[in-house]
Amino acid sequence: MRTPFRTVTGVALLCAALAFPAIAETAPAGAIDFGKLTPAADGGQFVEVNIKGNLLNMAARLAAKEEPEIADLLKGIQSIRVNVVGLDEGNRAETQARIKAVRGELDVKGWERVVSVSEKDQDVGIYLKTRGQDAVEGLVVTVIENGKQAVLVNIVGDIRPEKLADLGEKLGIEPLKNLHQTSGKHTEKSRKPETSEDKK
Amino acid sequence: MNPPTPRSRTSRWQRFWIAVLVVFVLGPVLLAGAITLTVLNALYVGSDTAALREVVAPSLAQGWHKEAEGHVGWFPLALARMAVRFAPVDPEVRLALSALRNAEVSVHARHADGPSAGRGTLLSDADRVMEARGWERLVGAVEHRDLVLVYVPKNVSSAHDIEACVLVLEPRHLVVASVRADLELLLELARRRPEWQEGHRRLQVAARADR
Repeated sequence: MRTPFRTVTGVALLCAALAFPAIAETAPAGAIDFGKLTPAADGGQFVEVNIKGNLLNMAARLAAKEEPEIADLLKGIQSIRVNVVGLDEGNRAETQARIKAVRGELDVKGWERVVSVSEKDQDVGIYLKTRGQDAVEGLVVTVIENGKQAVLVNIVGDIRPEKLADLGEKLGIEPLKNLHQTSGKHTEKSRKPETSEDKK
Repeated sequence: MNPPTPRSRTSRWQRFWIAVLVVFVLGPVLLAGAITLTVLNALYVGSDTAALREVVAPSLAQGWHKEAEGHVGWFPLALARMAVRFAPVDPEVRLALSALRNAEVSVHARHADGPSAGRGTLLSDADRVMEARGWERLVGAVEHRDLVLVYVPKNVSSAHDIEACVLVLEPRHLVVASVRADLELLLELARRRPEWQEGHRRLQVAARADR
């Protein structure tokens, strides 16, 4: 009996070639890599929380009993990443540059900037990655407060726009709590005119 | 009628003495061996916990000395669960024993603030070591000279069997612990605590006030 060696090898190579793009694709569309953030050398606060997939599903199931609202919010969320970085002379410039780079990357990748507040003591940016008209698959919040603390948040998953403010309340993300005034409208609040540098 | 052959009588006696050997000789030897292994195992932590500890206190250098180290595995926990069935203990103790699958802890201290790497460096080193062992960081927190790291396995699949490895570092104390437990039962245990109920009540009041 002739062994169709060439046929089998050809089919195997074809399957591998078709599977390669699937293997190469890893991060979902709403995920953003903040990169490596450096804690302040003087011992300032540095907190990083990174909860993914299965743990979130577990948390939703466990919370369903006593906190059905939280369980409802967590349904469909694939990952939550929160970084709080205390800033000092050693890491302030690097962290601010990193946040600027993240915002630039979001603009390039077609994220929608729904809130942009730049005041003397606070710099806030909220970005949404939408899928179609009503679906939000990613949320990024970047905050720099008084030059002393930076906060970055990335939530990935099937996020319902009407639940954004609730999400901000439950997770303690202050700028998101006030988003209910603009949720669904996707308007940009800016108290400072955009400079030409922002438009790049 | 044929009388029983000498050969079948011999094999019946052989089986009898083999049974006696197993029950009265091999059984106690195996039991003694299991107890010895359990006791020895209880004195040391597992390799993942030890690897995390070594990131901060390599080979117990820089003035760190061991204060306590222990491991409780499935065998002693199973014995404990069996024992409490017949003992009048608090239901919370029963629930805690039911929730726990495996636990180990390593506690170190030093008398003076010795040299140590920056917390950012320790965090990166710990991430590298634990990722190579199949863990990923869930929480990392640094404040002043305190460091808290929590790791979970990369492939967490069930809330009934979840592992976590925790490191808490203060200037003069280091605690590294690992636990494997049923998360649902642990949460049930936590819910019964008055501190949880008080905290939950305060959260609900705060949420209503925000609205």
